[in-house]
Amino acid sequence: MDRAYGNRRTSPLTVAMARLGLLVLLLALWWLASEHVSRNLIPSPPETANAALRLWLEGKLPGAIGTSLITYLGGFALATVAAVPLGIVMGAFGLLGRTLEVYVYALAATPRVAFIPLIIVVLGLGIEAKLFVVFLGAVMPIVINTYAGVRQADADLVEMARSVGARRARIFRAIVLPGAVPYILTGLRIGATIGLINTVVAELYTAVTGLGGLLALYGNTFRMAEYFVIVLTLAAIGVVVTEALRLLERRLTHWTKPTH
Amino acid sequence: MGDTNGDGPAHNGGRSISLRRVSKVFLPAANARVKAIDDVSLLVPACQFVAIVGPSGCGKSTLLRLVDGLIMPDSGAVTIGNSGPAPGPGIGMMFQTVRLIPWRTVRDNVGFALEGGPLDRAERKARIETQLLQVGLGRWADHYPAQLSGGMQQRVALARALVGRPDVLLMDEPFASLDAQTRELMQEDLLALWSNHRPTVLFVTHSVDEALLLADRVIVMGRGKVLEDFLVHLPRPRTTADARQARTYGQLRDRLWSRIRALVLADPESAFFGRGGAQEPKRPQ
Repeated sequence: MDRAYGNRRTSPLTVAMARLGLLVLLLALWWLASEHVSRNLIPSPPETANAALRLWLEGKLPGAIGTSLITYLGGFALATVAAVPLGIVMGAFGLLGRTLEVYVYALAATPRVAFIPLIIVVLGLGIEAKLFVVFLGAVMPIVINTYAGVRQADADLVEMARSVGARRARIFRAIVLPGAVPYILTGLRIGATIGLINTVVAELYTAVTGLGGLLALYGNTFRMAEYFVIVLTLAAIGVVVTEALRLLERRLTHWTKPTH
Repeated sequence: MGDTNGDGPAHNGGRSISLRRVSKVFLPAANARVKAIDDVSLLVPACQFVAIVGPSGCGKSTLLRLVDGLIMPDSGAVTIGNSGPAPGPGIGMMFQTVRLIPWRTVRDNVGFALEGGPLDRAERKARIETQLLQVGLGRWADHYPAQLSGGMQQRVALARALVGRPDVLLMDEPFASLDAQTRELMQEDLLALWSNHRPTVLFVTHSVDEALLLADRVIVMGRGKVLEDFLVHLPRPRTTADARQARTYGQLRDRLWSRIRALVLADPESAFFGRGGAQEPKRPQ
């Protein structure tokens, strides 16, 4: 958490400038590397830009982005809809939570790729299988964090609520759930990251489509400029989604700011 | 709960508190057994302001929780007015820490004590605003706790304890964490608010001066028992400055302090059962 370390004095503009500066530096390094390593391996930034423009105008890139986003956001949304209520119910009912948590942790620790053959057998190679692979990756961190957030309710606040006469349901609504929001958002962020990874995994292992499909195609045929375009596109999607969630988190936890 | 909850006269006063042979045991660790309250009998008449002093871990906080109805005694009976203790806005509680809800504004923190109560929205709103003005937080209603100083946070907690017009007010070292100046101001404000509505008060403190300034009666506790119990015959209103000049004040202070000193020295274990130990167990068995 950056706010805990007194970074609040750094203005957003400074941060933006620093990030931009690093970007420029990275681009320069990339360029330098492309000049000195064999051309076939690392394309230069202009080559990559040209490839991006070409892929965009041909419609390959927008199409692949669309396909991948449907898989990614669809699977992530399904995971959220399932995981948040499950985590809340697990936290609210102690026995249920203690019963399920072992299995949840076990499933979370199993490499999800291990399930892909099974998923293909059951769901085939189409969108259902892809959505499920993304779902499977994103669901566990969201469940685990939501559950932890509900379990770690502030005991002092709960006692305070009891002392003003609040009953279980009201304590849960007014104290426990809002207190779990930061945990849930952390879970969503981790889930979003793993979901993106699993999107590519799904597109590589099932019917080859979307950005993952292009990645395989250009990687296998050594079209490195195009390949770089796909990698950068995936990175950009990751940044946009996690930043959006960070923004949401900031909006929902505005009360932690010490000044208006 | 509060039977006189309307906008009646200011002096609708408190309810009496009675403890009859009350005991409470805690099991802080596997083989440990602490008699937090050991066969205590106590009668507090309505509207009396009682200060409870004693070394850490002597059962003061447990006593307040029993009176609030947050925990049940193992044996004996607690009676508030003519019913058993039940948590609610009729009994105001201030804990050692402010326990404000960080994601709620000052206004909504105070209002939390009224939610689920009999008042409608407009009455509730009016009550909250009045209470905020009374504790001097009118301008801060829309701020969040993290934006306030420690003293102001205590005021919010005080307002939350008072907003239900409680006839019993329980305060567990509420001003212990404040600096000396803020503390004196809060004490004066508390006395002013108390003389307004006259709830029955149990006020736990470590400070002999605080006890003598605020209370009609001082109870000294040690190892779960009431060891001393005497009245404070000092004229009211007492302000911090002139109370200390009275001769009786000095005498009382000496008497009280020597008793507490003896207690602490005689029982080195009491320091061991300090804050966060046996004094405030999370799950009483």
